[in-house]
Amino acid sequence: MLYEGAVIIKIEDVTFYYESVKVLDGITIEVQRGEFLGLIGPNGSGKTTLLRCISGVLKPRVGVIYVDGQRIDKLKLIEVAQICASVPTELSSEFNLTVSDFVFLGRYPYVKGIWWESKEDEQIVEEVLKSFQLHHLADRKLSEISSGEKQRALLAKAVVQKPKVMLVDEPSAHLDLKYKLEVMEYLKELSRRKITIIAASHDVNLLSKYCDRIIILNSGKIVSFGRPEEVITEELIRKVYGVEATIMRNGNETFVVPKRPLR
Amino acid sequence: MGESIVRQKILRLVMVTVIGLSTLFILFILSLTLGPVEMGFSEALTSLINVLKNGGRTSNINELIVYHIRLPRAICVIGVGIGLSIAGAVMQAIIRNPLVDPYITGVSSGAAFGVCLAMFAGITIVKIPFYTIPLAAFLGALLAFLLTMFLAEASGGMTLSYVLAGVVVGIAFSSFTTIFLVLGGEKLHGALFWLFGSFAYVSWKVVWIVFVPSLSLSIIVLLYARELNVILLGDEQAMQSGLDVQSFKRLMIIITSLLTSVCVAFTGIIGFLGLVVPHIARILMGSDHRILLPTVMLVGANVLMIADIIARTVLKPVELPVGAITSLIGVPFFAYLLIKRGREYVV
Amino acid sequence: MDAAGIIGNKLKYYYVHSRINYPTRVVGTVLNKRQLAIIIIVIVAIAAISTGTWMAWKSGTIFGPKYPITITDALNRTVIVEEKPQRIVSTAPSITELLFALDLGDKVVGVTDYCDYPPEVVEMRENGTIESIGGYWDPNLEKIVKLNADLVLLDAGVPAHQDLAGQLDSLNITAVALYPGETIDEIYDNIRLVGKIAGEKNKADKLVKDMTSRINDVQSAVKDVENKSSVLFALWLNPVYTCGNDTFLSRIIYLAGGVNVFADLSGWPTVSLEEIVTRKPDVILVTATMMGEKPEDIINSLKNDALWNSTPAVQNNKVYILLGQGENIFLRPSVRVVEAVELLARILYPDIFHTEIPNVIGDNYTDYLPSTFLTAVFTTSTLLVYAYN
Repeated sequence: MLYEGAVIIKIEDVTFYYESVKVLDGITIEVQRGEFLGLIGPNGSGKTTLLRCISGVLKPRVGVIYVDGQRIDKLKLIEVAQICASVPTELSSEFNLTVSDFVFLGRYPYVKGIWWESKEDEQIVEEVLKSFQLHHLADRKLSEISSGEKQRALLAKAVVQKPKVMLVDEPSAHLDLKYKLEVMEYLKELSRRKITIIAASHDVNLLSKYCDRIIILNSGKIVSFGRPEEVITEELIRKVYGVEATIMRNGNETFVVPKRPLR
Repeated sequence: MGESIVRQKILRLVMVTVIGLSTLFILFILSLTLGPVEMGFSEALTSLINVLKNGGRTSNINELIVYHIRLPRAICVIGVGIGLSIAGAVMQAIIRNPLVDPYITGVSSGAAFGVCLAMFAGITIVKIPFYTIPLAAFLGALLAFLLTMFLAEASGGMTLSYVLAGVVVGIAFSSFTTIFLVLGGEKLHGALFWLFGSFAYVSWKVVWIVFVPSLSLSIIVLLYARELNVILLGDEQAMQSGLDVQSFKRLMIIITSLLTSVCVAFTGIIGFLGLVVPHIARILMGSDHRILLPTVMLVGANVLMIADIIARTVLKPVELPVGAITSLIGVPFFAYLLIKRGREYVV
Repeated sequence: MDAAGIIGNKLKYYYVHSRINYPTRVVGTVLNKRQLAIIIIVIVAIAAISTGTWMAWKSGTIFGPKYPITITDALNRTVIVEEKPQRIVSTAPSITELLFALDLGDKVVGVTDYCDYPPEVVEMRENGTIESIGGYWDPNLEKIVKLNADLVLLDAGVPAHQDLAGQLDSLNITAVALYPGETIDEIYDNIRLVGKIAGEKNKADKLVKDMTSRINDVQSAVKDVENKSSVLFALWLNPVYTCGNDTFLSRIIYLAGGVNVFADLSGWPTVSLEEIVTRKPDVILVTATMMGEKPEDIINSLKNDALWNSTPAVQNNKVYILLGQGENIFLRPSVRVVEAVELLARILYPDIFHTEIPNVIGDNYTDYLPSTFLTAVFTTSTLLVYAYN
C-alpha cells in the first residue's frame, strides 16, 4: 500500500511536435491522486495538446507518460479509457443521439457483451443520470437540451466511465455564471472522491478558486507550477499574457483584475 | 425508477422487426404475383408453397414461373436492399456526414468501368458467360476501392482523405467509362442497361452469390453496432472513449465496399437507396445503431421491394430499371434533406 | 541517471501493484467472442453460397442422355436438342429474318417488338399468331416461358441474352445462342446452325450457297474498278457517328467494292466534320429512320453547309438517305446482307450495273435489285404461312 494515493500521472520530459512545430517542450509533472489541477496559459500555449497526450490520442516522440503506473504508449486505447476520461469543450451531434444513448457510450470500455450493456452498466448510468439531474431528460435528443444540460451530459458520460483521472478542456466555455460555478462544484466534488481532475481553461479566476495546484504554460513550457496563491502574481500575468493586472487576495482566494494590454 | 432502458430498447427492436418482417412478407408475395402471366395473391402463395414442398420440381407452369423467375428475383431484391442500405448507414456513421452514400469510395464507377471494359474488349469467360459481367463489375469495383484505399492511406488515412480519394478515383473511372461508351457505340448498349440497375435477369445461380454475402456481411456489421455508436462522437472523442478509430474505420470501409461491390456486380447501380434508407430509419428509430441497423435492413428490403414492384407495373408491359425508380423517389427526398439540414454540414 | 533509476524502480513496483488492483481487463474477451461470431458467419456463408450455386447449376444442366442433336452454340455451351422444334422463339429481328428465310416462319411463336420483316411478321403479331416477347435488349423471360417454346434462339452479343441462356437452362427450355454476326461467315454459321437444329440442313446449305454466289457476282463485277469509291456511313449526323474497320457495316462496304473513309478507326467512333472534309468521301450514306426529319431536308442541310458541301459526295449529289427496310438491310446482320451489298454496289458504281438509284431509299429498296432467289424465298414462305392459317 506504499504508493496508494500517491502519483497517478507522471509526465517525464515530454516534447511534442505538430509536423515541425514544437508545441510541448520538456514537460515534466507529477500529479497526485485526487488532486484538482488547473492548466492555464494563453492561446497556443499547449494546454489542449497536453490533455490530448495524457488521453492517449497523441503520442509524443520524446518523453514518457505514465498513467496509473503504466507507460501510456504500451496501453491500448480501451485500457487508457478505463483510467482517463476526457470531457471535451463541445459535443458534435450530427446524428442526434438521446441523452441516455450518449451517457451510455461512457460504458464502452467496460461492456463485456457484444451488444447490450449489462444490468450493472445500466445501474451505474441511471445513478449518474440522477445525480446530474438528467434522468427526466434521458429520452430527449442532444440538440433539444440547453447548453448547461449539455455540459452536465458531457460530465455524466465521463463519470460513467469510472475514471481515475478526468481531463477537462474549457469546462465553462459556453456557460453563464451559475452553470460555470455548478460545473466547477461538480468537479471539486469528484476530486474529493479521489478522482484526479486536470482542467484547462482561460478563466484564471475560476481555476484559482477551485484548483489545488496550477500549471502555467507558455509556448509549450511550464512557466510556473504550484498553489494558486503562490503562482499567480502580477509579474507572471504580465510575462505570460502581456497584460497589466492587479492581483487581489481575499483569504485563500486570488483574483486577477486585468487592466490593459502591454505594448 | 422507470422501465430499464436496455429492456425498452430490446422491446422496440422486437416491435420493429415484427412490423418490418410482416410488411416485407406481404410485399414479397405481392411481387410473386406480378408478371405477364397473371396470378392472384393466394394463387402465388399456394404455388410457392407447393413448389417449395417439391424442392423445385414441378411441371405446373405457374409454379415453374414462381420458382424459377419470380422467387429468385424477390430474394435478390431483399439481399441488395439490405446490403446497400447497411453500407450506406455505415458510411454515413464513419464519415459522420448523413449526406453520403455507399458509392463514396468509387466502387460504382469502378464497377461500371469493369463492365464497359469487358464489353468493349468483347471478353466472355468460356463456360460461364453469364458471370462475365458480374465478375467484371466486381473486379472493377474492387480495383476502384483498392485505389481509393491506397490514395487515402497514403494521404494520412483521415476521414476526409477517404472521401476525397473516393471522389477522385470515381471521376477517373467515370471518364474512362465515358470514353468506352463513345468508342463502343452499339456494342455497349447492354452496358447502359446494366448501369441503370435491373433485377430482370436474376436466376438461382446468381441469388446465392448476392443474397448470402450481403446478409452475412450485414450481420457482421451488426456485431459492431456499439462501436458505430461510439464513432458518432467524432474521431477524437471516440478514441478517448477507448475505440481504436483508425483500424475500426478501415475494417468498416472494407466491409461496406465489399457489400456494395457484391450488390453492384449483379444488379447494376441502384442510386439513392443507401442514402435515403438510413435517414428514414433514423427518423423512425433514432441513432442507436443496435436498433438503427436492423431497422435499416428491414426498411431497405421493403423500400427496394416497393421500387421493384413499381418498376414492373407502372409502364406494364415495359419494365423500367429499378435504379431509375429509386432515383426518382430519392432525388426529391435528398433535395429536401439538403435544404433542411444541408447547412449543418458545410465544411 | 540516478533519479531516473529510482523513479524506474518505484514505477516497476507500482506497475505490479496496480496490476493486482485491476486484474479484470475485458478487452480480450470482447474481441474473441466477436471474432468467433464472425468466423462462424463467414463459414456458414461460404457453405451456403457454394452448395446453393452448385445445386442451381446441377439442376439447370440435367438433360437426358439420349437426345439426338448435340451442338455447341455461340456462347460455347453444349446444347442437346431433343426433337425437331415446333415452337420457336426469336429474340432478335435478325434471327426472325433468318427463320423466315429458312421457311420456318410457321414454327415461330414469339418475336421481339422490333421484328418487322418479312412483313407478315407484323401481321401475324397483330392477329395473335405470333406473340411479342418484349424488346431486343430486354426480352421478357416470363413471356417466353408462357409461350411454352421448345427452342429459344438468342443473340450471344447481347448481355441480357447471356443471362437468359442460364435461366432458360434452369427451366429446361432449350436455348441456343447465335453469333452476333459481325462477319459474313458468322451469318453463314448462324444459318447452318439453325438449319441443323431445326432439321432444315439442306435449305440452310442452299441459302448459304446462294448468298455466296450473289456476293461473288457483285465482287466480280466491281473487281476491275480502278478508282474505288470512298464511303462515309453515318449512323447519326449530329455528331457524326460512323463505323470503324472491324464492323459489320465496314465489311459490307468492302464487299460492294468501296472503301470505308474511316477504315483506320475501329468500333463505332464519333468523328468531327473537319476530319470528314479532309477525307473527301465520294458517297455518303445516312441512316435516318430515327432522325425524324424529312430526307430532302437532311440532304438540303448538307448542301447548304459550306463544309459538307466541300465533299465530293455532296457536290456530286451522292448522298443517300436510308429509311425503314432500306436501313435495316444494312444494320441487321442476317440473310439480307446480300441485298445490302448489291444495293451499295449499285449506288457506288451505277455505270457498271446500269442502274440509277434515287437519293432516298426506303422499304421499296428491292425495286433496284435483280429479282432473285432470296425474294422468292420470302414470297414462298409468306404463301406457306397463309396456307397454314
